[in-house]
Amino acid sequence: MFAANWKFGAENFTGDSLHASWTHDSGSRAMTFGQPVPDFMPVDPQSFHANANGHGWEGGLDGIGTLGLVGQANPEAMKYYETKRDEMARRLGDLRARKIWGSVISATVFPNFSYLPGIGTMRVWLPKGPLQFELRAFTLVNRDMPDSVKDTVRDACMQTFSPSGVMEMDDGENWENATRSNEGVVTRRQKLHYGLRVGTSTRDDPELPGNISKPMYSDINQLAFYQRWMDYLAADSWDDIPAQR
Amino acid sequence: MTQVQSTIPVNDSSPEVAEMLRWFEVNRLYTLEAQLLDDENYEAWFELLAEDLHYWMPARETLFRKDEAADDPRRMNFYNETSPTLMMRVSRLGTGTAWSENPRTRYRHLITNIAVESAEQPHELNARSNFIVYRNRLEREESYLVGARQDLLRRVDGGLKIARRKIILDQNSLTSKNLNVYF
Repeated sequence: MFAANWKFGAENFTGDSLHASWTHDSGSRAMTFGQPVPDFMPVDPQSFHANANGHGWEGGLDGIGTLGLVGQANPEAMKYYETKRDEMARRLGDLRARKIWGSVISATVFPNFSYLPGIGTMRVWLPKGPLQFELRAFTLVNRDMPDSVKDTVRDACMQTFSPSGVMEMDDGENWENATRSNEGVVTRRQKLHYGLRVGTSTRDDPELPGNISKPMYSDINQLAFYQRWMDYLAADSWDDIPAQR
Repeated sequence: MTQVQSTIPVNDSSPEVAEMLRWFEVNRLYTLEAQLLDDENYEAWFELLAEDLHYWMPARETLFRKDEAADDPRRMNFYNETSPTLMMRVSRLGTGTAWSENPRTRYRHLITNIAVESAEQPHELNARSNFIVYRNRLEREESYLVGARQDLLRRVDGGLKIARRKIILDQNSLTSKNLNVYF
């Protein structure tokens, strides 16, 4: 249970690339024997935000950032993933199989379902009133994974993104404290700034569908998430909700 | 029949005295351990853990009685650790950027209901205990974690070390936001 508004979790997963190097420094160093999260400068120009109808995806193209956390714990896991990549490439093409899959990625399916595709966890942000939510987290393993790889994935999710996880523990501070600091009368009179790189996205990317912006450090997905939320709140009936955003 | 025998030791070599000494030693171990965990003195805590430690805290499920099954570490866990992974977790604290620990958490471990029995190996003991772990942070964040521990203790170089620990938390959904704490 978190004493926070559920939308901060959904927003975090839909596009907040900037929080990682600051929030997850300690968890990252712990997991990698001293290596910090790669700083956001220099920026990988091909990393991207993608959104459609309030759903959002943010991530890089290094192909290894998240899988590496599992692979360093169990070399057998890395072998398994590499055989999957070939299968995936035949089905989905090289971009998705070799560059996107395995990178540090997070995504939200509007409004309250999020996932980390590389490490294999998905979660639901369940509102329990305006200042409280329950986070239900699941670990996904492929049916055809060897048992030892299933065990490694399950433990890697537990060690990183779970109540005892060295990454998610510090996210909890952000979600709760963002909620606290937005409760104040003076803060509520101000508009929050969701403007980073807004206006630079395109729906005509040659390779990727949706509203795409590069690189991934921006407020574009977060703003799209809240705009979609407003579509729902402001509509008088279901028919008044715009079909697309 | 469930009962507690009333015994008054008559001489130093009686089995009752041996049992009291054994209980006393385990009680001292747990009191020291609680103090080390309250003080975040993890380096000293690791010295109480055996090299082949299995440190396990399964997630609890709410099921109808007929569907209940033994806990299995291959299902979801809060902790499923060895000594190296525990040390990996704790190393976070040394970085200066572990935000859920800065400002620090005020911890208090209360360990009670200690019961000690012989184990299969002559140099090992089975010990059970209950805990209340209180956490307080920032201005008024509070959580109580209540549960039980089942330990296998091993005599190594004259002292007792914790070789297996199963932590049974009496909660299904964790009612607090994280587990930045050991039991």
